[in-house]
Amino acid sequence: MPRFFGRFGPAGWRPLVEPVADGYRINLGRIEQRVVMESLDELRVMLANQDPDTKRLFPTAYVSEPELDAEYHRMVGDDLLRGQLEALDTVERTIDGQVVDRDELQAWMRAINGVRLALGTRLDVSEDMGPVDPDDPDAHDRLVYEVLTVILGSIIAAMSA
Amino acid sequence: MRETVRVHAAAPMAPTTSPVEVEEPTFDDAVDLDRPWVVIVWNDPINLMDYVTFVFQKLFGYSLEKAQRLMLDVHEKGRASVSTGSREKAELDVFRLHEHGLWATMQQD
Repeated sequence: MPRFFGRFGPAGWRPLVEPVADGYRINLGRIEQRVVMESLDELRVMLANQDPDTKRLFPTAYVSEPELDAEYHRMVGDDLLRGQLEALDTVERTIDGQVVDRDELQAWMRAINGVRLALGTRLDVSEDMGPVDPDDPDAHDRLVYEVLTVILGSIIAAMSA
Repeated sequence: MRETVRVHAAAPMAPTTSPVEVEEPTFDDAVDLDRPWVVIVWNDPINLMDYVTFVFQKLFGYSLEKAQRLMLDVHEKGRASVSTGSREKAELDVFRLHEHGLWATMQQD
């Protein structure tokens, strides 16, 4: 699994997610907001189409007992999907510079990581990817992935503070 | 954790002259009930190290040290056992890990 290096910024740097007295302030700029909103939309479409790249959101539970695994997924598949969609709703509702409570920030964590799981599967990411090459046909998705990783790192740092 | 007796259905049985069929799986199942289930988290290239540590602390109430040790086991050895218990408990733990996007499976010890 990759290490996240973006926790500490230069002096005066404002974290993307900042613990405040009554919760956590989301400090995304307009571009970051747009990247998040577009990627959430994309995940919604992928989930609706049961895109194979979303399989990491519904992992195998029983490796060597396919019948038990099928039963597990019949039992919890809808809950996993509903929880993910509710997390996307929460982010969309609170995207615009709001102070969110801890439950809402956990929804942010789930939504952002859900997009990373689907996008990372599509990009077939590895633990040590170099910088994004602008000539790479996947450059746009790679940049989106990096932005989401920085936001997720900031969420974890804020909740661990 | 206590030791459990392992009996495999394929284990050779003493030959019997009795025409009555012995239902071996029943015996095997009875032993299975006592064997705990283990929840395993596998390494993946997407979930961040800090994220996995955070999820272990949140879901299992582990100290930062224990959560980091488990996370590093996953990272370096490819997998780690993060909890054990009855099938129901293990399934619930797997579900909660899946809610957080971790690659978790369960198997009998």
